[in-house]
Amino acid sequence: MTLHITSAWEHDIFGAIEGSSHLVVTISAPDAPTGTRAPIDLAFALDRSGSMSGDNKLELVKLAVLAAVGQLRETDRVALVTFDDAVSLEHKLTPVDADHRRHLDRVTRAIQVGGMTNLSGGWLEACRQLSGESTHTPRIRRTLLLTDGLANQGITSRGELCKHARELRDRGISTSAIGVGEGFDEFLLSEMAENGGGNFQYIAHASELEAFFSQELRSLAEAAALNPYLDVTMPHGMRAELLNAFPSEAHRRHTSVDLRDLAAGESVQLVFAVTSRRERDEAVTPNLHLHWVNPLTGAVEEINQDGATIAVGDASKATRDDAVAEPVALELTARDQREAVKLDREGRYRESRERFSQSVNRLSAAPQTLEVQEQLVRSAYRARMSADAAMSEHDRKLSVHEAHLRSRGGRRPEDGERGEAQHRGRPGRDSSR
Amino acid sequence: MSDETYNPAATEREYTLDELSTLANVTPRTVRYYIAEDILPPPTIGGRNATYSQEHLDRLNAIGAMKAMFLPLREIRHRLNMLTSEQMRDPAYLASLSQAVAADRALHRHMHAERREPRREPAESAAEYIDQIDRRQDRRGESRGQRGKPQDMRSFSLPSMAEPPSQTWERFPLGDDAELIVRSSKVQSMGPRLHRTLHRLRHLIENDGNEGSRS
Repeated sequence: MTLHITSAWEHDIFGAIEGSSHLVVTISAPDAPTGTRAPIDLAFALDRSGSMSGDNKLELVKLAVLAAVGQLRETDRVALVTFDDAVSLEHKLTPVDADHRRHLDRVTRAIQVGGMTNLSGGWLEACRQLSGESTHTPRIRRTLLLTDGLANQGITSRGELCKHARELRDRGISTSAIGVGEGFDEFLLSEMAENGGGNFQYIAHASELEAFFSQELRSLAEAAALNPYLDVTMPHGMRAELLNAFPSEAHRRHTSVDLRDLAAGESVQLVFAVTSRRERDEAVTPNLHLHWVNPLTGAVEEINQDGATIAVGDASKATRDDAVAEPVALELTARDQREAVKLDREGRYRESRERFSQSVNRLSAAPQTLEVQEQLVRSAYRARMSADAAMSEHDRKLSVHEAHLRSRGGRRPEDGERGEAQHRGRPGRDSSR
Repeated sequence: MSDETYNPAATEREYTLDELSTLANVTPRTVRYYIAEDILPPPTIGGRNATYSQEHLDRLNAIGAMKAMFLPLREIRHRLNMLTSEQMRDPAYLASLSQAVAADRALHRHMHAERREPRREPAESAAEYIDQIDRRQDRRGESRGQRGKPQDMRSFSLPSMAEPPSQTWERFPLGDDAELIVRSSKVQSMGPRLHRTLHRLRHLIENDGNEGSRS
């Protein structure tokens, strides 16, 4: 199975000397012929700190974990770690056969709530379970970190945890982070997932967890490409900056992006803000180089192709491509949204609301697709929130979660097939050679 | 080989821009662009009625052949500069270039494969990486007595410092003008990081060359 890249410019002409436009690169995985799949190694790191007792949370988490284990095959393996201020390895990484299922069931039901939150300890122990020598068959290895609180023991620095998440991802272990309720740090969890190559999920009520686990397992089972990595080389005099929430490095005209793993049928739209110092009245073409690991064979595969062409010239004659302007507006909104929540957390309420207002203006100027209109309603609601008081925790988490999903090409569970069909059917100037 | 059939005297002539672009199957705009990018020399006689030589046509044909191999412009410039005018006119030679390109690509893929390898089999495994974090946490005075499996943490020894460094060295070309020489043992221990570094260095050197020459 191979991935597909298409790319399109927001405008057809770059202004000379101080030109700017956006390049949208869409990477999609075709639908998989189902049947064979790589085995999955899954490690749960579950928070059992004191706060998990409220609202029947821990009990619902246990049921969701057991339901998820129920979906795995015998070739898959599961580990279970719980943490409060102490870390307990409840179940070592073992195949999901009948005996081990019984053991898992027993230890899961016996989990008791405890004290503080040593998030790093629990998470790293879960990663350690997945870190054993990999057998000859490639395996998909993911840690599911679930917490309802703040990391207040062990490593508590967001930057450090994100760095470790990225390093471990480089070593084949991805991390998804799930925040339950209103007491967790949405930036810590979303950024750990972004660096860890997994997903961030805000669960307002623990009863929603089962659906998320199910979706997560489905995407692991249908993995089409692991560790995709895109190198974009712009023509001389041009620079590209990634707007999406993927780890990315820019070095002069080269920009590289560490994408998340892609499941069959999924696609990700990357939006690059591109600036140009070029003076000449000429057409220019970026180069796109994508490589990834095939989950079935473990082999590295790649595509190297030219991107869409754009002219450098009189920007006043440029026309905008609506099919591209839409994802650009939505991606910039996702960025605004995160910033607005950060400002709100800092107590800068007025600036936060202004950020939301900016999104409203931006979205109003964008092509009025269904997605844009929905986002416009949400942004307008947030822009009108009182500037004298903080946003509610629920709104903060929802905003960051929405931005994460938009930016990572994820879908809200209820969007289901509709969102996916939209992605696939989206027109754009195809640049494949 | 077409060397025998080729007779320079019979084909050496001058072309207008329109003739040249028609023969080379490119637009006049592209010709001007190549000249601006120093891939083609300026016209033999400049001005409104500029004329172009056989060399222009040969170069354009060679560029066309390389474009068909999906080579980026900088690569084309680089390769063109290494061709003699005979090679440039020789279709068989140009065709053989695609093999060289394929070999380069295979090398590139190989490098990338190794560069991506950390995600599968890194120089320092995930387990070792986590152990390092643990050791650092220990030094910070964190109590780790409550860890689930403390014996796991202690069973790892420090990297084998007693091992003598190997005596063999490996060379890594960084374009035409530079290379990096690394001790073989270091190549092993750096693993994919080395390839990431090489990749960056190549970009740096290449960009220096290209951007320095831009007007």
